[in-house]
Amino acid sequence: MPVVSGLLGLLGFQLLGTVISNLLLPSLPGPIFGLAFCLGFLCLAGESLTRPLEAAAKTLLSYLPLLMIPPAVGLMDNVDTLQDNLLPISAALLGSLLITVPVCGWLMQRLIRAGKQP
Amino acid sequence: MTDALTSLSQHPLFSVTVTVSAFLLAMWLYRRSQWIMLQPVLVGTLLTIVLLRLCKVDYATYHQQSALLWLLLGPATVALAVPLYHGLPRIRSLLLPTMLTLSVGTVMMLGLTIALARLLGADTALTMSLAPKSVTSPVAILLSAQTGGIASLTATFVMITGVLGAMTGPGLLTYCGVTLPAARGLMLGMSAHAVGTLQALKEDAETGAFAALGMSLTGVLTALLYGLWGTLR
Repeated sequence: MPVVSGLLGLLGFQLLGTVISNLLLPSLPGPIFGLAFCLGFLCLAGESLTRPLEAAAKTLLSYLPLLMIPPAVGLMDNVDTLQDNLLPISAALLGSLLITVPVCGWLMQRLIRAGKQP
Repeated sequence: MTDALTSLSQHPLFSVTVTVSAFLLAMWLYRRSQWIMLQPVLVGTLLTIVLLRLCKVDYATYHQQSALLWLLLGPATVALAVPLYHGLPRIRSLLLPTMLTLSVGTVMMLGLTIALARLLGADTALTMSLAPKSVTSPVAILLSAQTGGIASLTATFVMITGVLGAMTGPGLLTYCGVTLPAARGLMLGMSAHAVGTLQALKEDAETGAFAALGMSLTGVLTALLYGLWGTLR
């Protein structure tokens, strides 16, 4: 049962998040507010309350690849877009990765080392 | 015979059955091969498309029938709070380097992706589908759909980015002299979300923990940037 009651918790945070998003800031999706509320709850509540949430989250996240298939299947309607835009797509995907990863990795390492030397 | 097949493929549960079968087969293949290119989402998606084509089911029908699975993406996003919560004690001592690197990195990744796509002639829909490609998939899809991108393209780009980032990341970081586990992990999670996190866990626990943290914080930070931009516009 902990998985089911945890799922209820996750759904509750999402619905609360959606209400807040609609009322205050529609450009920030409801589930992101839900994530923030859930994080706040985990920090404040006792272990007996957080255990079901952790069980449900673990189960749900282990099936993330399954949940991602339906959105990705939409590819079957978009093959033409991919073929016609091979250059911008591969340049954007690879270029941003090959520049950002080394630069920011180096930055983080510098910052950590600078923090350790008084 | 054809009638029987048609009634089967039009059944409301047909798409869910096809997706779950394709997923299980893809998981089995991935576990057997341990090959990072065979990401379950990628293989599962291709298998599903082949099966749907064989049964002559179009995407509109599939989309409608798979609503059950789509609905769970919301709670899965909320569930990301749990790995984030577990990572919090680790960043306490490295709060400033982590947050600074994440902010610079997220802006850089978004900016470079949008600029490169635009310069090479991508239209708005394609650019907005590419922009959140380094963010974990449930969040990326929300952000893409909200800004005029195409959810299915984003799902594909997120997957490809994960594989590319996990394959090139460790080598790139070593080549550039980045050896600290916290820095390596954060970059892998930031650039290649869940796939990068799995790769980071192969290095050691510290690298893996920072990757999980990088993944969830990048998702939140990117969503905040989108929200800010949406409000100011």
